[in-house]
Amino acid sequence: MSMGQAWGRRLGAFGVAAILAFHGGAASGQPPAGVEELTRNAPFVFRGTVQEAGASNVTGVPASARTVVVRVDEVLKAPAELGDFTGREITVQLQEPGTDPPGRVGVFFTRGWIYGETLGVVEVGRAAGDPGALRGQVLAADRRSQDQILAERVQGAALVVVGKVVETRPAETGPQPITEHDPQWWEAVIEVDSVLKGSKPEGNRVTVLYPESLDVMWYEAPKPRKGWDAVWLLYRGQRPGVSGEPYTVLKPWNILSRDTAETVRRLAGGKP
Amino acid sequence: MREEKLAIVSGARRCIGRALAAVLTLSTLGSAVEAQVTVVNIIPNSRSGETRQDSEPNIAVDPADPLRIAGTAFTPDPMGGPNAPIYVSTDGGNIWVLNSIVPGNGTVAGTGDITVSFGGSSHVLYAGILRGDSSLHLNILRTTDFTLNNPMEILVNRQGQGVDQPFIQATTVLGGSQVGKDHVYVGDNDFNVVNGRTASVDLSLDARAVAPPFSIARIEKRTTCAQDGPQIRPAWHWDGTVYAVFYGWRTCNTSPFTSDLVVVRDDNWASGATPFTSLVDSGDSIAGRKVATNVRVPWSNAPTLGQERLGGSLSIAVDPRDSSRVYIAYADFPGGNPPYTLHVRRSDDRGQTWTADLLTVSSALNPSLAVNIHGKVAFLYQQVVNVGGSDRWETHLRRSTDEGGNWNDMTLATTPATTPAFAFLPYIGDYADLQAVGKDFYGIFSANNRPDLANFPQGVTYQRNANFTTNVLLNTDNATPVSVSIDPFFFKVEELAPALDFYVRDWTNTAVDADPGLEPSTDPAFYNRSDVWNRRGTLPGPFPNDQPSNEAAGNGAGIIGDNWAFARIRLRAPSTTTQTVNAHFLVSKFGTGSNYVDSTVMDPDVNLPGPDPQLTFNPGQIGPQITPAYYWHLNAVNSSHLCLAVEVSSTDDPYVAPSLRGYAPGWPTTDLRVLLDNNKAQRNLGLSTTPARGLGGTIELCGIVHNPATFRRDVILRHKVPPSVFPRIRDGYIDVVGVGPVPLATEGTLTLRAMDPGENRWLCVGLPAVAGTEGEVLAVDFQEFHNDQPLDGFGIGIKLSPVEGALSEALERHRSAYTRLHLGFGIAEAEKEASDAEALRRGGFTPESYRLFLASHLGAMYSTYDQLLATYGSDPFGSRQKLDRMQNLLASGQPAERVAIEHASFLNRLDSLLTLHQVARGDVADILQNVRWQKDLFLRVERLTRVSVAGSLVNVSRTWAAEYGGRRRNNEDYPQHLKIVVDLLSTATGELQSEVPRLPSLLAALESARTSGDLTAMQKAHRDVLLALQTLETSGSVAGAP
Repeated sequence: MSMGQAWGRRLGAFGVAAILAFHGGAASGQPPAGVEELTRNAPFVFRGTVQEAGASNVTGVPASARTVVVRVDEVLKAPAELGDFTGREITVQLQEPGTDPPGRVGVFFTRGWIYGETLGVVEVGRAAGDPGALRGQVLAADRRSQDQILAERVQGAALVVVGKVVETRPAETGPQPITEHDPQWWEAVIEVDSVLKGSKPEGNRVTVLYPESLDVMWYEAPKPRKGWDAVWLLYRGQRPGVSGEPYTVLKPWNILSRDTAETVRRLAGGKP
Repeated sequence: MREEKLAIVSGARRCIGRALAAVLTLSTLGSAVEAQVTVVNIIPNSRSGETRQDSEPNIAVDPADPLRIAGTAFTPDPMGGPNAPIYVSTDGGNIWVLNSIVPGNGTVAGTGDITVSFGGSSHVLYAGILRGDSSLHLNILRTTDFTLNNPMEILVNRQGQGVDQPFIQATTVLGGSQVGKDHVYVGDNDFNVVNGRTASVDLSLDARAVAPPFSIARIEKRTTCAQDGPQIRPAWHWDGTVYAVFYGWRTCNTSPFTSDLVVVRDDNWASGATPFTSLVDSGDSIAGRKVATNVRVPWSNAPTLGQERLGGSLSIAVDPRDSSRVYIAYADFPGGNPPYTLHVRRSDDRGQTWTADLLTVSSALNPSLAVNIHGKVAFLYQQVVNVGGSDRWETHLRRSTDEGGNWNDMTLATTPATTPAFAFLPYIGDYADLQAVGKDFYGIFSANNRPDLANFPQGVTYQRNANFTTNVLLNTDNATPVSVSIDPFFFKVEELAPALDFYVRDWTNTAVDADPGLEPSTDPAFYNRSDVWNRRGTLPGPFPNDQPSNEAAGNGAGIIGDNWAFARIRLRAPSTTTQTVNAHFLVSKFGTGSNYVDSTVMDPDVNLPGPDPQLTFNPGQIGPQITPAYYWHLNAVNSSHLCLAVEVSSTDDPYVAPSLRGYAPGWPTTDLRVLLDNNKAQRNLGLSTTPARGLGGTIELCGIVHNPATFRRDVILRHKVPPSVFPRIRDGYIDVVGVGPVPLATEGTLTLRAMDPGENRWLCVGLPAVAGTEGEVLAVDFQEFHNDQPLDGFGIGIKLSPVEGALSEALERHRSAYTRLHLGFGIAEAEKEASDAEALRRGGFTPESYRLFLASHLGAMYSTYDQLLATYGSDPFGSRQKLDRMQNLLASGQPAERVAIEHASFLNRLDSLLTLHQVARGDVADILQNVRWQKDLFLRVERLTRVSVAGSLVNVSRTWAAEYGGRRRNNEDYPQHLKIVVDLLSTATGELQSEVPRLPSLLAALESARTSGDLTAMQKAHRDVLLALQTLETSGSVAGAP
């Protein structure tokens, strides 16, 4: 499988994810501000039942008055990388000792700590309310949070266009240090169909830099290929070691599927 | 009313002296015990579903608690948090978890390049990283507890034009001026320089400080092609030697690049103004030895060898027994052509010369070298091997017990090189890692994680879910198949099972706070709370706080000099078999730089009769067991203190060679040998004090200063008087015998210039007999320095004590000195002096009877002194003046305690005079020093290196010294060695006729001494030969490496 094929699959996945997140967010009511903030700050939110207080089931997390073993009844928010912990018992280090007796059912807002036989997580905050009600609020807040992230990315971009790659070529960067982490800068020339944010480029074409390197530090960066037709969130000033401020794409989310164009236009403040 | 009392004490602070000569090349003692190998896939069970490329691993084992291990790899935080994880084990590597504490998590790999290292006794974990959220952005980090959830603290934060491949090594200094400080060395390729000399070492000499100072040493001194290669690898030794190896790129337009392979060295922790400049290339006189030139290094940042990229590979390791011995591994395209090939080489002379390849391995990378305390060198690498038409990555660990002459080969893993397909580069890593802690080796590598026991010949344990029958990885539900990926694998090679590992504690605080047998042990003050001790009787004494109760050594004729040594021995774990352990005791009799002797040395002053005591450990026992009382005898000697040591050995667990025998106590040589080897322990013994009461007058004490080095050098002594003490003894003085006195100051420096190897000089301290509180000590502290490092220290002072005790001690000293005069110098009249003094002391005395004793024995004191001078000719100590003064005080009716001050001062000078004449005849304790000196002369002195027999002399000297260090040779074998030396040198007299005309006569004298059978005379005659040869050394005072 070529890198182009691999990237093509990834591009599609990111584009779809962005659309679902946006439309989902518009469907729910506004949860309390506390839940909103907690959901944003806690990468792992779940509804669980306390199994044992003052205990730990993870090597590396010493049992204390602040630790409880909790069964994960339902995962409300988690990165895909983490895997599914539904039904498993994990250890939570509480913000306040002795607050959770065995049998308590609650929504836990946590961040990661220890990954061992199971998880050891740290509670980042607690929201008042019935777990059932909190569940819905968290799901809604998470969708809004993802929308907000997309909005911030759009806002941060210097230029947002819809267009197609018509050419790629090595970039002229001048002398660079020889390192295994050399980004190996290339240029992609994009023929612009429409501008979602910023000024229309001269000649209706824009040139963006991207790292062609397969090194671990640049592996994640998109490698545009001729014919790619997408929404491009173009940033400036992200080219380490090179003077000037050309447009760059360094993160997977710099390139979105074309069908996100209207959503992105709205987030950029333009009219549909 | 409190009585004001005064006494003199030769205060022992620690055993002193240092063998400044390079330690000899020695063969390791191989063990017949089979090593225990553990291999663990360290992906935690909760990460069973992960399929990432967790490559480029690194490892750090806490030397102060080897159960605590940190691992790293390209592993991101599973929740995408702000900090990347490290792998943590607190049970010696059996169970691992991820703990996200490294700032700058990147979503693909966590961090960029990352390496980790623990300090020594500090438990602090340090890391050198390229941040995962930035590019070529260096952070140097630390955490005091790597198990907590606190992000590591950022100590250095530098990006600029970029920094590459930080490779960290850290330690806690065990001795010397920087004792207790954490030192951190980070080799990196720093693109922020303007001259293209990018090879650098970021370093801190106090990394545990609140705001630790860091500096950057630029170690490339030659012109480059615009930069150096990315690999800069440092390695330190506990004695302060720090090496680094790097590729000095000379052309870098077209791969393979042309490079010098450069090794740099610093001899004092890189603490000076021009760090890493100690090793100068003999070809261009520039700092940095070019081990190889025109080395062709491929640069292929694309899948090239087993899906891995190529761009250089380096490793370096120092032998903990001897900082002169250093190994490197490097990679190249030999002659500019594939395959990528690893080479292992060794230097035995601090990097100046290098062997040819000890090992050459083709199609291999990720070399990592480590040397354990027995000198066993281990070499980890990963090699692509075609098996049945398919490429496989084989991970090998090869080990050698003969400095790389022969290697065994252990395959840790053999995994497909074609699957999984690479996601990014590096595929398995630009490095793997290997570390030695004590006797054991710990390492980490990355490989294909297919659960197939055939892929792991030493066995393997997976934490993640896996079915080894179907060879399928399973997700956290233990049912859903998971794709094969690259995982990090920890391994440990336990060279000696704890159940076979005997040790003697270096320190005990309480029953529950004591040395558990670590190598090295963690308390620099190993010399005053160890499990070797002396008693004046046959019982081991009480153990308050579980500490042995040491008694000062008696010295003198008869029962006065009878002592009994004890050692308390333990096993690290219960044994399943019956084992016998042997305890070998040693003594360093004079305080300053005098070499250790044992039962085989036949020293005239120290009688350590054989055989060594033995203990039997039955199955299930771990001890402690105390050795049977070991009788030893110390004749009257003049010293501020002495050292007692023990070396224990069993069949499977021999002490680490070389023995302490023949070397002087002190930092870093023998101190390190005690710290590094849990089979060795040492304790400092104070001699019986010599109390007296004074009403005015000056008390004098003298100490010997011996040069234990193998080259002429200036011995620099710094002295200090505590500010609270100085006003009371400000009228004192320090008298370098033969030079003259200087007034005492709160601090100062004395330089004893151009001391030859084995030469002795004397230092006397005069202190006013002031009044004070009983038991009070007023002392002057001395420390010897070399390269601004304290080698050793001792104290001389006065202690206030009761009058009767002061007079008793003066009588005892009288007995001791005149016993020496009688027995050691054949002056018959002295016998009565000794016996009369002993009779008075034992029979009871008063101040008046003491005065009468002195008055009635003045004639004999003058007479015996005159007889001594008639035979030996000179008295640089001016003892007679003290005798005259004592006579005047007696005549003027001064009280006994006032007279006793002069009496003790006279006896002290007389005793020193006796020692001077005694060692002038030769010293059997210096026999090994002679042989080492001989070897070094023919290695070091350019004229002598050209003598036809130089190589033979070096070889026989090296071999003999090695066998002596292994206690396979003793002083009784010295005549046989000298026969060879005389024969070899005799054939070379013609070559040296014009430069050393005395050589034939000196050799004749040596042969005469040899045939006489008198070892003392042999040592002196041999030394005379070496002194004559040393005149060919062009520089007068050699500031050579220790």
